Amino acid sequence: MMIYLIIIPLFLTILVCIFNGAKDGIFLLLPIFSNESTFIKYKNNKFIFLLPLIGEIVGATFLGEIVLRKIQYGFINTYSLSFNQLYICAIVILTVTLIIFFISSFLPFPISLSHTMIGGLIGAGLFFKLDIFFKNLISTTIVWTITPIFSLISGLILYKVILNFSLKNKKVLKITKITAIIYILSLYIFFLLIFLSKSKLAFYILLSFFSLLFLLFINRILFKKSQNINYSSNENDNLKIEYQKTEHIFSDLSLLILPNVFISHGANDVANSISLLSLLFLSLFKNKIYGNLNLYLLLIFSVILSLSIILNGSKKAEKISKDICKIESSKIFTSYYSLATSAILFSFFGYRISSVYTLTGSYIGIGYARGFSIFNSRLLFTLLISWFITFVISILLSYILFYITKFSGVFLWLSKI
Amino acid sequence: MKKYPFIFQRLLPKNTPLNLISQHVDCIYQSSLLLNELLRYYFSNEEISRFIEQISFFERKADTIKNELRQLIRNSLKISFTREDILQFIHIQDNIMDSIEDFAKLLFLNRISFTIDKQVEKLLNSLCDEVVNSIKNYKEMIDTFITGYNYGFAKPIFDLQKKNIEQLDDLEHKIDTLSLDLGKIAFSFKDRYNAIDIIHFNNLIILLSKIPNSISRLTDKILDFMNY
Repeated sequence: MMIYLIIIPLFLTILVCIFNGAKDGIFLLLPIFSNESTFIKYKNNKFIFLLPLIGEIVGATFLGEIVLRKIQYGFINTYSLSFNQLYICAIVILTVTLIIFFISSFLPFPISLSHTMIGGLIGAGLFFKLDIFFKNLISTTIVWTITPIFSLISGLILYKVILNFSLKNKKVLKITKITAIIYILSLYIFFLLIFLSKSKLAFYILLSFFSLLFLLFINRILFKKSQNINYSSNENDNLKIEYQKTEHIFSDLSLLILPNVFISHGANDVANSISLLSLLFLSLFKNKIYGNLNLYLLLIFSVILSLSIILNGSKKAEKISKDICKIESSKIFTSYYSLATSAILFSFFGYRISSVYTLTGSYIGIGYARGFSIFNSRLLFTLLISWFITFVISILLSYILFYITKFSGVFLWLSKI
Repeated sequence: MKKYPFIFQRLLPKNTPLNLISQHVDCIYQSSLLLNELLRYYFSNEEISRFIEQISFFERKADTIKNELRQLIRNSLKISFTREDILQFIHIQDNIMDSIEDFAKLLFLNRISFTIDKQVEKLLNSLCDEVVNSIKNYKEMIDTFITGYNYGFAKPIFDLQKKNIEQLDDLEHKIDTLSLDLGKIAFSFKDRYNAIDIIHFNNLIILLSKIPNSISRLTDKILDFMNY
């Protein structure tokens, strides 16, 4: 087979990365854009744009391989596929993913890349009569079901903790400064421990990065007069100012944990997008390239995906943010914290989860903790149905496409060239 | 093909009951700010129709907000307070807007034929001032309530709201005293002036003095919400 034909799956993978970045970027950045004070900080400081980029690259490069291997070899026996079959698989599954991405803009629920990809792989397994590893499939579907519930519970508990230990305190500003340090340190330590068990290099990179961010934060909350808000003679106004200052601390915190959110996203979504391309590259260039090929691919595609998040996702998020209620910084922080911890934990065990479903779950959790005066609690059920539908549709669609490909003579044509 | 709303638009709708209540109060506050000038124009026998138009505009806006709130809580969304409480709350709050509108319309409908004594005019003006003050304080209370909601009604917020309620109670007492004084003066004219004019004047006072009573009921409801 001609090597130049690899350009088609490469192009499709780039498209999947761009569309996935644009789609997930909206969800991940929307909370920030809905809050004026956090949004202004995000917009005015171009340095902050680096946070998602660094997070995505670190997550994909150092943690993506666990998820990548699980997708490549965990659901169907891809070892028994010939290169041509693998090639067809890559093109069909990536096309199905793109079709479903397109359809998703007309559906009342979001679409997850992992459900589509794994659905496509199962479709391939059924078509080529390969071994399907049902044990892994069942455990993954259980994880898909429990992650939104897990993040709902963690969002609820965390918001209650923030409410009772920080916001409800008499000296709200002083206590929030102290507790903020505890919150951020606990998250950073959790991430460092995860990375320490995987790669020492990643641990040291993250340690330096987190230390820098932490020092900046400490400098900002303890030594800088960051907010030019003066107290007035009106008690009502003074109370609002006090809470406004507290909100500023939480908006700083939300931006500080943005890399953690994208570390989890990078570990999941980049690996997902490139899983099939990486299999093709491994078959073609095994022992021909120095070093770990997967690592190179994860690094390159994490840059593409994060650029799409920053350039495409942020634009749409800004537009949509005008149609949702303002989310207070303390709630943004809670949702990000909950998403980052849930996603990194499941990625550590090699499970592919959906960032969108997890984030939605955490917001419903905050809602149940009386964080929102009104919210749609039924969406969790809609999301559970949506993952099932997406999964089934991608199995069917990929099976049909495989069938069409076979009978249109593509298999025969490929074997001849 | 139908384009469905984005999931976040369905999860967290742009309008929340608290936002709508705040917008409704804002309409009341804006229209109350016109009352003093309306009275000044009325006493100097000048044209007041433009004030009526402005107040009616705010009343229509408040009605739209009230209907939006009704629609919002009718949807199957999860709300932090009971639907009945919110409906009752907005109903009482809307009564304030109606009182302001009725007051303005009553002034427009009939010009009192007798010359109003300067002292009476002064009393009526101070009654109007106190009503505007109580609406302003109530607006602040609602703002603090919304801030408080986002911070789990911390103790400082509770304490501040109690202080606000005390201030509103003082204002209510002041308004009651003023309206009683004005009522007495009005009926003391019964032998000298047209009975319809006296009833008209008395109705004006009753409409204004109804406002702090409604506010007082609303503050009780706010305390209930905070304890819910």
